[in-house]
Amino acid sequence: MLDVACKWRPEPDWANARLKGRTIEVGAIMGVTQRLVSGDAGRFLARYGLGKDVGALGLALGARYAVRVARDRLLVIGLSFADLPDGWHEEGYAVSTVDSALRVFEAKGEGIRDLLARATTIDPDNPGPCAAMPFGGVMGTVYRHADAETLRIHVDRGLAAYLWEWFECQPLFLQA
Amino acid sequence: MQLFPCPFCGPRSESEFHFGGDAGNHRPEGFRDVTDGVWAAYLYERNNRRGAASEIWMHMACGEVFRMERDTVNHRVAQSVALGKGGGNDGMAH
Repeated sequence: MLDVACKWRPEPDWANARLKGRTIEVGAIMGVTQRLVSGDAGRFLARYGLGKDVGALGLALGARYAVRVARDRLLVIGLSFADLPDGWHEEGYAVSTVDSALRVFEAKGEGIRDLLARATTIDPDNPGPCAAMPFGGVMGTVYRHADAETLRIHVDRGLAAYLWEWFECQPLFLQA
Repeated sequence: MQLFPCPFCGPRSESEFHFGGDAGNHRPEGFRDVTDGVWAAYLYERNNRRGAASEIWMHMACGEVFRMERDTVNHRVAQSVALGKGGGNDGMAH
């Protein structure tokens, strides 16, 4: 019988997967709480005191923050089910837990700008209010976290292995 | 690379957008009253204008559906308006 599974490599061990180049390194982050909030984003942000949402390549600080992925949709990080139950809320928004849907990568180093130049077509000096963008050929959510040289990328879990192979092929990671 | 203006995200690469057809090409209402000619016109006949065109596009990154007015000769974009913000409707039966 044809063994089609041998056409693909097994997924990396995400807990230990690391790629390191001269100016940048990348790895997967585990255990990030991810919720999708759709509807009245302004009322949600005010209700939970999350401040201004983060746009494309924007800087997110702390463990709790909201990233804008559409006009009426936020990817919210760090709010647990106990803080924010799934389902419709009378304030005008719906909440879904997407922990299992998205894999999170973190890239660090002064080579971030070079990585963005290879992975996206976004203008880093005028990135816009929405963090959803194609990254390395797949749709992702891309912003900075904690400092200007740390980039977080959320992609569909099923596409994470492809994106990892894309990282492996980049000259930035071949120049160790 | 050409930049298209998403009404929400701003200028993005044309490769992030999906063409949705001519603006104003509304799905015919009714069932038995719709002749095969009317239905075929809705499905297949396109304005394909040389010059100013009004079209429906979708930004695949954020999901915004909008009307874009552009020139098919010089590719200059006059404006893009979200359908929910006065850009009309997309002619689809939702």
